[in-house]
Amino acid sequence: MSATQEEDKKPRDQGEARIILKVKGPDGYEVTFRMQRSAQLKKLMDAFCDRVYVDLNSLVFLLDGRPLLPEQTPDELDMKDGDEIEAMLNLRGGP
Amino acid sequence: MMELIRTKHDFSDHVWGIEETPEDESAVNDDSAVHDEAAESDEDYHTPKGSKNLSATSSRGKKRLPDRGFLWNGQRLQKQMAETFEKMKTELEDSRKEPSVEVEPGESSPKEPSTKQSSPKKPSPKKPSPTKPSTSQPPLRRSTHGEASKSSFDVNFSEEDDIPEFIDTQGVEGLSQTSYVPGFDPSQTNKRNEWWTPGTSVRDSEAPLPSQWQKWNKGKGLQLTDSPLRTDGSPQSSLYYGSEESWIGFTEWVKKPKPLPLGPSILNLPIATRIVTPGKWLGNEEMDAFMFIWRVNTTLKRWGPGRVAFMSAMFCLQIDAAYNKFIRDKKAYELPEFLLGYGRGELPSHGRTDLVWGVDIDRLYFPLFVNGNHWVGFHVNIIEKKVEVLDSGRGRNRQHVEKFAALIPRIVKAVGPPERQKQLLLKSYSIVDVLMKTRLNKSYCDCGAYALKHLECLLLGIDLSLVDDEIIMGCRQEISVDLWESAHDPIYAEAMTRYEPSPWEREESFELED
Repeated sequence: MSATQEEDKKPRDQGEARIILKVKGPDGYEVTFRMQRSAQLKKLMDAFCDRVYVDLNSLVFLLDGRPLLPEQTPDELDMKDGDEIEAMLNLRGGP
Repeated sequence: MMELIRTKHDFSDHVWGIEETPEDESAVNDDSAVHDEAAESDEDYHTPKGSKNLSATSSRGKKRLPDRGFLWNGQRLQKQMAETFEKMKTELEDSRKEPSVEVEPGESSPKEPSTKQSSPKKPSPKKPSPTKPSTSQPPLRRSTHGEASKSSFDVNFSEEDDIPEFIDTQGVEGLSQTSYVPGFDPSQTNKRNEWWTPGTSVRDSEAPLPSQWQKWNKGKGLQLTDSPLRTDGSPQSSLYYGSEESWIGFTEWVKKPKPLPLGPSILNLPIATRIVTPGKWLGNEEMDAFMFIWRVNTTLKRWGPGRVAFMSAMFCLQIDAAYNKFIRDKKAYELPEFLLGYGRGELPSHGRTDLVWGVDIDRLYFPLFVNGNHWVGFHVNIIEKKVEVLDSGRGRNRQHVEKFAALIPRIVKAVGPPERQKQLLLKSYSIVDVLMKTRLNKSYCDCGAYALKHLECLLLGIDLSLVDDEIIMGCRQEISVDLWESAHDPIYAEAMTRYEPSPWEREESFELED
């Protein structure tokens, strides 16, 4: 491991192992979570759905318009403190 | 040749001096069947039972021959046949030069290609074959004639007797003659792209550009009756009729579509596009926006209905989740506090009313999303203790509706004044499927518009049967223009400035354990 990579990793090891993420849901729901950077986002999604009292499969979670997968982690997505995740309904009916 | 015809020569056994061509190979695939039918026809002129295909067609054609006066007009017919044979011979020679036919694999290549052509003209007097007529689909026949065919046969303008028997009415794709119908391609080679069904390709079709949007009116769209659509302020016209000025303003906005906040939702180009585009499905955003508008209308008494409340898509999902817990243990179940917030009018927070169900509110209205792809109108009558479902598809939605029928009485009882709580029962409300017209929503894409318009009819006392496929496109445009107008209305803008999240929606911070 090079010295530069060690320097990059240092701050996270020391003080940035956790991240603060805000989830904005439908009808004005807003909840802020503090979680491990290396933890899967499924933990956050489950907690938000419990909080707003809907099933997990009812909502779609987006970051900058891109859908998030429960298996992804903030580290993988290079998320920053204060990033906003949008939780939206996607109900479409026709027939 | 003429001599043979005059002597009624049996052409079935005649060996023609023409080499086999690819067309002949495909044509004689059902040779035996046709031959057998021909023999039967010669005897008693009965169409063999079970012949539903080419064989039956040719058989039916042949049995008319004696009736048409084969004997009476023999000379005329013989002359035509002689000409036909000459043409056929010329064509076969031409086709030998430019073979372009697609021969299906596995086809046999019998050595008597002329039998097929001659037998229909001159049925064999021999006994019918014991073999049954073929009921299999004959192979599609493709012309091999190129330009030569044009001069030889004109199918469109020929009398029936002039049409050679080997050209049937089925499998005519690939015809090479020019079309006399503007825009019609007789070759049908592009029919894959043209084939569509309402539920598939229309939905997948690309939406027209905003510059191509046109206002729906009585002169456009599908006209199912001769009666003109009224735009004179009648109850029906109020469901679809919007002013020309509003439509112009709306179409001007879509050229530079700045997103417009509208309560819990937002009106932007994608939402506007899917509302006005035939074949697109409506979504929860426009449904919630409409519920917000109706909520404000009621609060500000901008329309007649009073003592009514309008719920959101989120409420429906929350009831759904709550019912799943309730059903596990009904006696021990306690309603979550935020559901009581709905009962007290604190939710939905956009257009908050603070009116209590059963005290200030007698009826609830909202579109309900069922089966993962369908909108129905939903009406709760707290006074009469019943829920009504308005389904344009006339489906049964009991499994979705019973959740509301079971939980809403509990909410009403929980938020009611203490002195009345004892009188209120926890018994589920009765479920009523409102009888709808048949064959609504034939496009399979308009259930959202139907749900909104049916609710509007209930609210305004309009006959539900006035909403039908004839006006539904106008209804969709009216929905989009209504949203656009509301987004520019200072009344709604002022209502939005008063928005304050409820305690259940306010931002909180949670620590997620590792």
